[in-house]
Amino acid sequence: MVWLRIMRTLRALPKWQLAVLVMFFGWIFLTIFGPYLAPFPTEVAEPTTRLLPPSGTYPFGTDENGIDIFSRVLAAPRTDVVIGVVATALSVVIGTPLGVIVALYESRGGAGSTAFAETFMRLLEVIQSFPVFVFAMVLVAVFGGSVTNIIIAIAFVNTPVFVRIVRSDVLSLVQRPFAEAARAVGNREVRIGFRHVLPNALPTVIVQVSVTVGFAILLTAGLSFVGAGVKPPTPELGAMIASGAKYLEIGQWWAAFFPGIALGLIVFSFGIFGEIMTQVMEPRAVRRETDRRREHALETGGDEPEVPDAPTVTLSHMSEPVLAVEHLGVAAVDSRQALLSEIHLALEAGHSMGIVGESGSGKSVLVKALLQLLPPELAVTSGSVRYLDHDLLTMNKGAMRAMRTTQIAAILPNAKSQLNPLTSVGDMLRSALQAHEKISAKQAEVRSIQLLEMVGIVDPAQRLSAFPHELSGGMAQRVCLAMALMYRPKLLIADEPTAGLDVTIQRQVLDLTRTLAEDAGTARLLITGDLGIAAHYCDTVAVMQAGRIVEIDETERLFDTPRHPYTQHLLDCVRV
Amino acid sequence: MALLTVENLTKIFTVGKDEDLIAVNNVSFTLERGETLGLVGESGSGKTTVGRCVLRLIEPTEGRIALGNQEISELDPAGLRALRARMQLVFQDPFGSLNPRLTVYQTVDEPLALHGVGRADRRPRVGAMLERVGLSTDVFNYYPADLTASEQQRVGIARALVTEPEFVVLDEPTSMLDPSARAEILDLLKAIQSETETAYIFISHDLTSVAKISHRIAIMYLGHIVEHAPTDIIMESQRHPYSRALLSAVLFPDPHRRPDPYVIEGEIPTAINPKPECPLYGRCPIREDACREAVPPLVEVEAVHYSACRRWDDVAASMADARGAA
Repeated sequence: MVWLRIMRTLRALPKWQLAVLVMFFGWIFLTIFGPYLAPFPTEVAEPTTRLLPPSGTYPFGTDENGIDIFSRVLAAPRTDVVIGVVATALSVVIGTPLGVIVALYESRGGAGSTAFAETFMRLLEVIQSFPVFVFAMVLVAVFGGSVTNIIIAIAFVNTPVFVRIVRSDVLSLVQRPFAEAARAVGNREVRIGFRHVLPNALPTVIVQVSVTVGFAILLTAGLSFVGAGVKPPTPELGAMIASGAKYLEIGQWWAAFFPGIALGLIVFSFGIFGEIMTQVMEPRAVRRETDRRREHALETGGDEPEVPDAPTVTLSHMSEPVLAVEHLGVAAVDSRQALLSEIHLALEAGHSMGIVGESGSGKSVLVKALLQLLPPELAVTSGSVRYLDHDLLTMNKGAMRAMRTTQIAAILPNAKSQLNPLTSVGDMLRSALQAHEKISAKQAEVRSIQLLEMVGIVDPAQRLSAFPHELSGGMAQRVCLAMALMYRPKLLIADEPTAGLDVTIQRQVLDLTRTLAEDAGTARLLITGDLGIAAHYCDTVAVMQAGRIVEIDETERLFDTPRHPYTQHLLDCVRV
Repeated sequence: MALLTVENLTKIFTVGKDEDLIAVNNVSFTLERGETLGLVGESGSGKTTVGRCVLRLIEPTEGRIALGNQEISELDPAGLRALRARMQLVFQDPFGSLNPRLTVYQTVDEPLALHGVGRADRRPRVGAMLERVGLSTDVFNYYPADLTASEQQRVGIARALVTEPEFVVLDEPTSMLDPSARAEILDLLKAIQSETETAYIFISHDLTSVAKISHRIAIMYLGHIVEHAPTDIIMESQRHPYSRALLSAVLFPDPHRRPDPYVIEGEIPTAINPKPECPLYGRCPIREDACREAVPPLVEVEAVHYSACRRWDDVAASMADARGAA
């Protein structure tokens, strides 16, 4: 599974990232084998060949001691990368458990725990507030420049980074239900932290590791550059750049140039490697597997027996429809897999039709297809959608947008998330009104108040200044309704308009929607998973399963004498 | 003696200076072996907090909770952990409540391991439990993300039941499921109860689901139980205006069953620093001044039918009138 995921991510990578990935493994290879590949000795001075320019024998030239720079560049990653990696590993090993423990203390609450966590975090901030480089330099200066001390110094300055990211990840993860579930079955807090929560925080840690390794390598080179790090003659990029730098001015550029390029490429490839790791760790990649199973279920129509076509019923006295859908089909663009097929609907003025179905039945895809809001990976493959005299499928985007606001209104689930959190209710209504009509701000405000009154909001004038987070779910849905019905549209498409609302509020919102729509003669298409809503708020009901309408009939007849086994099955499931 | 006794349970969250949110306000009930109590209310009613307090996943502010002879409310952390084998929880969110990095098998194995069952004894028990909830052996090594919502919830149920608890708090276990999955899970829970005599507290806002599984129903509003009766009785005749409004808002999937037009206007108020009056006072259509004097107690107004409304008989009369008119 892991390999599958990695392979899939690799295939999706842009070419240049793949190239960088190859380079990354090149550097890892050199870290291990570099010193053995060097054509010349890397630490023995050769006075006769000082500062020779690049040539066939010495492709990168020689340095002030007459040593082949190419050989030293091959050998140097061992010093820099090993110091960087070991130091980072050390900060992970120390920082991660500390982060978990601090987070556990913090989430436990109580004055003592909070005080401990607070003090600890402030202490880390003190460490982090020093310029990292200077701080590491001081540490090395005080304790001496051995490789061990350099590693300790770099690990020390990076540890707070890991404490912080692990702490914040754990703090949010312990709020998740699975952590509470772990407590409910009898886990100790410490075990919840390390066994249940930490593994879920590891992706973030791994990504941070690759970023930090790059930084630690840079720090190693930097320390050596100023003479506080690895001492010559050990091949090390920072020290090599330092020794070459003084010859730059007199034209002997190669001694600093090649080690500099090598250092840049190492840090760059570690950074990009981190990017790639993020993509591998994306939860999306994990979910793919489920999607495949779902798609499979959709293809085969789940466990239900495949039943050919919807029983055709003649709906009595149908006048000229507001919305007429014929032979509509929608499929995925790449796999050509059908998500909707042979959808037929007709909705007349002032009437309401319910579309019911379970998740995966295609009812949301239908809404998106009707509103021309299909995501780019889906496309209409057949059929027509007519609204009065307009063909919605061939209409251009601009005209469709105008249509969507004034003639075809949509209400989507979870009203609160659709209201701009930074705009007050008044501004929202006012700007919507002024976008369509040439009216003054004052007039717009009066109209806004009327609209809020219409949807039954108490104290409408005061509510104009409210922001979405100050509204309850029911209130937010009322505001959405006000926006949707502003221009007495001919057609209202409501997708799960009361999902997440309490039953008493649900009833208020549904009653209000019905009253307003009937006043305005608006036809309604109500998409819902709740057969109770369909039974009481729709004139006709269409049942969807696996992308098809399996039955469509007048509401009472459909509930009294369902003709399709799936309809029967759904009714059996919900009847008390 | 009752299996579970909850007396005067109160939970107060301090939300600010001099601001106390009384999430659960003096709630009492009992639960017998093999019985299901439905706890119904809208968001903000405190039903979820009751479930968490009973399991002491949230520390109650006041009140007594006892499982048989064992005082849950007085246990130290170690004793509480040991007792968790006897009381369990099933969550609302089927996916969110499973650790994404544990397989199905590992998830159900853990509670047994924690409660000291040896490795050799665990294997058959985990296998039997997973089969009992209807999961086939080929999904044992799947991760939660690879399961459907219904399968995920089955894993959650298996995890809760594998230690053979005496009671389980079911916190909206079907609210995120499609109708067919919902029906399957309810049937499964009922079947298991008839085999094992496990008692359930079934928390939900969905009265139709609650009615299907519960023997008794308690309706909560703003932290209080306002009405409490056996399922058949309360679904037929309510003795509290809030319960009546709640039931009349339920849309039964039957176009002939016209909803009772009884509506309570407005929305549930805040539970921060509530006044010592009937919690419904601000919205109640039949309120009178006396309702402001104190929180009305839950009293047995008819046989096994408890209501916290002083004017319960007026509710009864108006319901009879509405029926007569219909």
